[in-house]
Amino acid sequence: MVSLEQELKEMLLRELKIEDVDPEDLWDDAPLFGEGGWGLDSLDAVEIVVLLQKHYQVEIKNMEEGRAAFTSIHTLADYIRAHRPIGQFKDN
Amino acid sequence: MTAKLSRPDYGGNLGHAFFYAVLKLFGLRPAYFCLAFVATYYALCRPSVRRSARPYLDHRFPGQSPLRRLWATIRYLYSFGQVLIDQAAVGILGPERFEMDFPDEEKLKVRAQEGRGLLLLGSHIGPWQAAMTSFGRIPIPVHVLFRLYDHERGRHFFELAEKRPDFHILFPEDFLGGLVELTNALSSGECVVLMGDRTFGARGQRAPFLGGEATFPIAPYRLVCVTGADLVMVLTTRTGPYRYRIEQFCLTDDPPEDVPDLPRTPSGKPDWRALGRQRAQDILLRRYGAQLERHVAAHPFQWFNFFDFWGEETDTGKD
Repeated sequence: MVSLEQELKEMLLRELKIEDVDPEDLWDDAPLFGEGGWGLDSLDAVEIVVLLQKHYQVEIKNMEEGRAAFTSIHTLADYIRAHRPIGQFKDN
Repeated sequence: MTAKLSRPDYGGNLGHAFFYAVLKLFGLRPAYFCLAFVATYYALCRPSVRRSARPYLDHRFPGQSPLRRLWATIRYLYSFGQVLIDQAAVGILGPERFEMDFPDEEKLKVRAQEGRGLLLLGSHIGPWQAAMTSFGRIPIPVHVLFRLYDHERGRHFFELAEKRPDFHILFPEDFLGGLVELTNALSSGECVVLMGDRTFGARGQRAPFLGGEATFPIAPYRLVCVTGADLVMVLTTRTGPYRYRIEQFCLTDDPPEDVPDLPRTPSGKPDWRALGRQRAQDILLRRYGAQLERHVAAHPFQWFNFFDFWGEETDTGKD
């Protein structure tokens, strides 16, 4: 079974049109924004917010939580697990 | 490295205090009278101020003689000063002293309540900040991305009025430029106000403007393309002492000229999410630039950009 982290990585690479990168090379704790990781910026965050709403019915309303969630793939997956509506949670 | 913004300061804190005092004691017209001398002094004696006005004036009035350029600079600085004074007057004298002509206000309110999300795209035109008082009347929550602490422009009208504005203010320095909150707001059918002629250090895109190519922010268009919100350009014009006018132009109501059959949303509006992201951004940005150009042609001294908007580098909104 594909982990939620892996699913997120593949979704971001596909939807944000990040090319020439192997998802295996991007470790789960790599920073999403700024230097030294995925190198995403605020415009990519706009896309991620909508993708989370569309695919996981998860909204980031509290910005303190949002700031922590947007740290890495790992923290994003944790946020989804904690906030996904009951009944929609898969084993990943 | 970023382009340097260097707006006329009009005497720093002492200058501002002087104009605030004149406003309180004598009203608007005496403040304008004093401003005429100050604007002339800055145009004649402050080369840095002349330099900061030059990129815009070069594009708007190419080939001017030195004497005409000096006169244009004085008018430009005077006009900018009038707007600063108006902005202060709204706070000090109260917005009720101003006559605001906003013919499409009801139409905008109806659009806001249709639940698609509404992005109002402003520009640094005329009394744009004073016009913000009207956004509080929009009958849905309003979020404004706004640079609050910019010492060169004096205090903002709601600081002078010593009351909280009727809208939620976000800052470009906030987490991810405030865009996460703005995306949520639009997805929830709320209203967001952004400026279309400043990147504030965020990602920009080059587009034709006044005979050259300038860098515009792309966040407004990206927000519209992912949330399906309406994009409405808002233009404010100072039409006289105590008078200004707000006009609105929806940039998303009509489909692209070459894709007239763009899929529609359930409310019958063109669904810009169905167009390729980059293409949609290009078209909407071009529409904004063209409308801004028309406005600048009609009101040449009411668009305020004291930095090289056409340069390769983007502004940070900081000095």
